[in-house]
Parts: sequence; C-alpha cells; structure tokens
Amino acid sequence: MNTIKTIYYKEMRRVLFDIKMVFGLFIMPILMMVLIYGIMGFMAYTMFRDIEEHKSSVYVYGAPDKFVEMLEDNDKSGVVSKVSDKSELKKLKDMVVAGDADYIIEFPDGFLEDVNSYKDGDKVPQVKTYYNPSEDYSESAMDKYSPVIEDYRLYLLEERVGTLDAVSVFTVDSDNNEAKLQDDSKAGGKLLGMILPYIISILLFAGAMSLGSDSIAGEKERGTMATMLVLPVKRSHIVYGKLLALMTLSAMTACVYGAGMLASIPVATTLMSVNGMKLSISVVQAILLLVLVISMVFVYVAIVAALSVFAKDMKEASTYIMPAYLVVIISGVMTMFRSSDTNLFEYFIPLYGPAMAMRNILTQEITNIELLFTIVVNLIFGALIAFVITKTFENERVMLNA
Amino acid sequence: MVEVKGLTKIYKLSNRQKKEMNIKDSKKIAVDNVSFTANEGEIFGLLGPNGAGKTTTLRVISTLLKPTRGEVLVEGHDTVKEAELARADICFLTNELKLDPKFTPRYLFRMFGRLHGLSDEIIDARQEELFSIFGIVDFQDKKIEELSTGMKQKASIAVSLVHDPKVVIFDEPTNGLDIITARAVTDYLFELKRKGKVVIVSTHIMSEAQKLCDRIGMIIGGRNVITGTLSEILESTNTTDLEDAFFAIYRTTITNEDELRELNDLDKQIKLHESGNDGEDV
Repeated sequence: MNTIKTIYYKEMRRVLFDIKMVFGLFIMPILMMVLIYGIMGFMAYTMFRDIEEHKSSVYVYGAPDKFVEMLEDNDKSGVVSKVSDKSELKKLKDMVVAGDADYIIEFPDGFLEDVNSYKDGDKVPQVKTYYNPSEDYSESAMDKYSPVIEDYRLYLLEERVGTLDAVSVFTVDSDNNEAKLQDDSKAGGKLLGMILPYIISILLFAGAMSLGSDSIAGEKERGTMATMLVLPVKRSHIVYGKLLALMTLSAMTACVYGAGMLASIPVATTLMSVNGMKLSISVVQAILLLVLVISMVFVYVAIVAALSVFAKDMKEASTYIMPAYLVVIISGVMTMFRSSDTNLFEYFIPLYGPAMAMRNILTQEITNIELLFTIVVNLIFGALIAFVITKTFENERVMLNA
Repeated sequence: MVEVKGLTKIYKLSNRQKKEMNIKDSKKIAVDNVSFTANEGEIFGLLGPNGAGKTTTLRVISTLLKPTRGEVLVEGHDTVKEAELARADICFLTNELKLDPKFTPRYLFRMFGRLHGLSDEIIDARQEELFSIFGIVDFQDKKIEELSTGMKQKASIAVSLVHDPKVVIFDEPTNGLDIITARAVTDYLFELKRKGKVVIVSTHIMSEAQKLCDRIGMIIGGRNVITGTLSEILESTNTTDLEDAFFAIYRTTITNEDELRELNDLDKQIKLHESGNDGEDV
C-alpha cells in the first residue's frame, strides 16, 4: 500500500509542481474558455444592440395615409419613405438584396377604392412585402413592421363590419397565460443533456490523454520507467499508483473545465435564446453525475494507459490513442441526436453507455438500477484493462523494447 | 553472490527490427550459454566489444529480462521465480536507466528509499553519507534537468545505492564522465568491495578493467570465452596486458570474415606505423 502511495504522490507532484504543466492543464483551458465565451458574449451583445439601434429604412408604395401614420407610430426610430413612382420599386428591391434598404411594402393601385367598394365575388386586393432574410437589419425590420399590416387589416375590417367580434367566431389563447405547460428544469435538462455528455466526455478523455501518455509512454521515452522496474516492488503497485494519480488529475482537469462551463451558462443562455428554460442541475443530478464521471475517468485513464504502454514514446502513444478519442467523440455525438428511449443493453456498451447515462441523468430519464448497471459495467471494464496493463508491465518486449 | 548458470538470451525480432539490422533471421542470440560467479568482496568485470552481450547479461541479472535458457541466482534468489527478492539486493546502474528530469536528487533519493521500504531515519542517514561522498549536497535541490552529465551520474549512483544493496551492478560506470568524476566512481567501487559487496562492472575500456577488476569474464559474440583473474588470463594468452590478451582471444574467436579482415587491416596499419611509414604511403 505504501508503494502505491509513494508512486501516487510522485505522479501528482510531477504535474502539480510543474508550473508549465499546471498552466497548460488547469489555467490555460479556463483562460481560453473565458476568452472564447467573453468574445462570443461581447460579439453577440454588440450584434443584438446594433440591430436594435439600427434605423430601419422602410419604403411604402401606394399606402394610404392612415397606414403610413400607423407605421411611423410603431417605431419612431425608423425612416418610412413614400414611393410615388412604381418604376422605382425595381431599384428598391435591388437595394434590399444589397442590404441598403430593409423593407418594402407595396399596395396595389387604387387600394382604398377597391377595399371600400368591395362586393361579394370581387377580387381581394393584395399587399406585397419584400425583405431579405439573409440581412439582419432587413429581417428585424420585417419583424417590427409586418404586424402593422395585420393591425391595419383589422382596422379596415372593423370599419367595414362595425365590430370584429361578429366575424372572429372564436379566439385562441387570448387571455390564457398558462398555455405553455413545460417543466422548465426538464426542458433545460434536455438542452444540457444534448450538450454536456458530449463536452464532458471529450474533455475528460483529452485530460486523460495528455497526462496518461506522459506518465507511461513519456516515462519509457525518458528511460525512467526502467529505473522503476528494477525496484523491489510489485509491477501492479506501480500501475495502481499511476492509474490513481491519473484519475485524480483527470478528474481535477474535468472539474476545472466543468467550473468554467457552469460559469459560462448565463452567456450560453443568452446566446441560445432559451429564456424560460432553467439551465441548472439539481443536487441529486450533480451527485449522480459525479459518481458516473468518476467511473468514466477510471475507464478513460485505463484505456489511455493501456495504449501508452504499447508505445515506445509519446508520439507513438498519441497515434495509438487517437482512434479511441474518435470513438469517445462519436459516442458523445450519438447521444446528442437520440430521441427514443434507451434500451438497457445500451448502458453495457463501453464508452457509449456512460455518455448515454449522463444524458439521461440530465433529462431525468434513467432509473437507479440502470445507472448502477452502467457504473458497475464501467468499473469492471476499467478493472479488466488495469489487469491487462499489469500483465503488460511484466512483458520485457513491451516495456524495454527487448 | 551472483551465479550465472548457462545463461542464454534470444531476442525475437520484429519485421522493423530485422529491417533496421539488415538481417533475415527473426531470432538473435544475444547471450549464448554464459556462466560465471561473482563473489562477495570482489569486483567482477564483464569485458567485451560493443554488442557482445554484456548489457543483456547485466539486464538479466537485474531481473529486467528473463533468460531464454539457464538461470541466474542473486544472493540465492532466482531472478525469475523470486524477482522481487532478487531486486531488493541489487543496485543496477546503466546509462539506459535515467532519473526523472523534473525532480531534485534529494526528492528522488527519498522517494526511492521509500520504495525500497526504508524508514525516513535510515534514508536521512544514507543521504548524508552518499551525498557527502559524491559531493551532491551543493546541487541536491536542483532539478535533474538542470545538472551536468557528471552531476547526473553522481546523483544516479547515490540514488541507486540508497538501500545499501549487497550486489552492485554498474554498466559502463565511467562512460561519458570527466576524469575527476570517473575517479570518484572507481574509488567508490573499491570502497564497496572493501565493504564486502558483490560488484559487477561491464566495460570495454581494458585499462579500466585491468585496474579495477579482481576477476574478469570476457564475452565475445554472446559467448563467455574466458573467465579468470588478470594474471590467469595473461598467462593463458601469453600476453603482458589485458588489451593484447583481448585481441589474442578475439582473433581466435571471431568467425565473421569481415571482422577478421578489419582486424588484419588494423594490424597492418599498426606495423606500418611502427616501421616509420604512415597509412597514406600504402
């Protein structure tokens, strides 16, 4: 036991007392996250504010004065220009395409006369609008001004029939504020369940990858592994000490990344326009996630260590580990686009099962038994790999290239 | 005592290794039926050219490699069946075994002491003794990566001796060292001998072996061609120094035509040089 502890402390010390490694593993990712989210948040805020402050340029042709008045009342900051020459419309449409004009509303000639003299069987006059959905300003102008057309339509209708109630027949949710029956936390969990399993999986594996290849293949490359192998200690104790340290360090990196991500949730909420959804994790969910993540760290570290054992140096280790990393990424992506219920056997699939379990914890769609199965399978899988590593440590051909 | 009995080590070569070594055979006999005994209170030297099988023999003794045939006993412990017990009595120092560059000699000394199961008091006492002998105190808190080659070698020796082993195995102990550090190392080997340790060194420097070793085993082409004291070897080869003795044995041992031709060419060069001509006149 003392041997495992000594190896464990040595591995921990090697990382935690090395400023470069601490910076690269713990500080740099947080700085990157803050920087990336900060820039994204700032850019998004600037973009939204810019669109909001933009003075929309709206062109109307053949519009009655009342409509123009309603338009101007709707948004005082916008500039509504009347067009009297129909031939100008072609030029204006080109301006909308080019992003120089935002919105065009075209009334047919003699619109008011046609409306006022309407009889059954007459053709209903058509108001045409033009906007450019690929231009933010234009789309925003359409959102702001198109309801005015509907208001004007109702205004004219009311003038024609006296009161609108007679022609409305029924209304839909006109005073029902409870139409949306969503469980905000579950809806938020669904969103988190789409993103988090993928991100946590790849971050955990990335942490294990850089640490594991250095701890095993790096030791072989530096010639320090052979120094350990001539000590009167069990090979298995060397392996356990290393795996425990790698697990701790990988979990620490995952915690650091996780903290960075949690801190960025407000920014993410703004960016994804998910107002109303509760992007948070309950205490029970957090505990279940923690237990699951620990078992995942064990498996990831064991996989990385096992592949590193067979490599002569860190470069070769990266080549061996990369396919496993791809499997982790694919497993994470598969959980993102899954809507049907998860079958029990899926939890038994290494790498994929835990990612799916993580998603289902967040969406509250996993039973305790299913979670227990996933964790037990993970632990058995990790233990099997650890056993293989221990046996491989006895192999002189692998360990000493003999 | 270290007993090597009929040790044979055969490496299986991968396709890449065969290509690198430019050979077709998938097996390479590194050590072929080598036997010798190294006793307490003596320095036993393993002599031979590069690639002769010296390091492989030492690696088997230190339990890093398993013999293909034969057996090795370290203080009575079989290096395969009781590898851990054998390792507890061994110190193995070779250029291939390095200290972690990120740690200081002091930290490594303590860590290796603990891995040998020593108490902190014993580690402290051993540290004081060995760091003083090898002059490590001045750089004991510097990282290994910041040390010179000589300092690294001194630190490696001290760390490898932390557990006061009964058997000390040094592979090319003075290789790459400056004259002062090399002298410190050889002096300490004599000190270990005086303390009754089994000391085994491998070298291809004949003068060093002649000065250091009580008994010598010559390995050529993986085979143990002669074992004995210096005087026994000189007598049996009818020579006056170890280098001449080595070449006398080497000439009768090698079978490879290229190596033989190379050796004859070397002889011609030496004779021409001794008669006043240099090689350019030939």
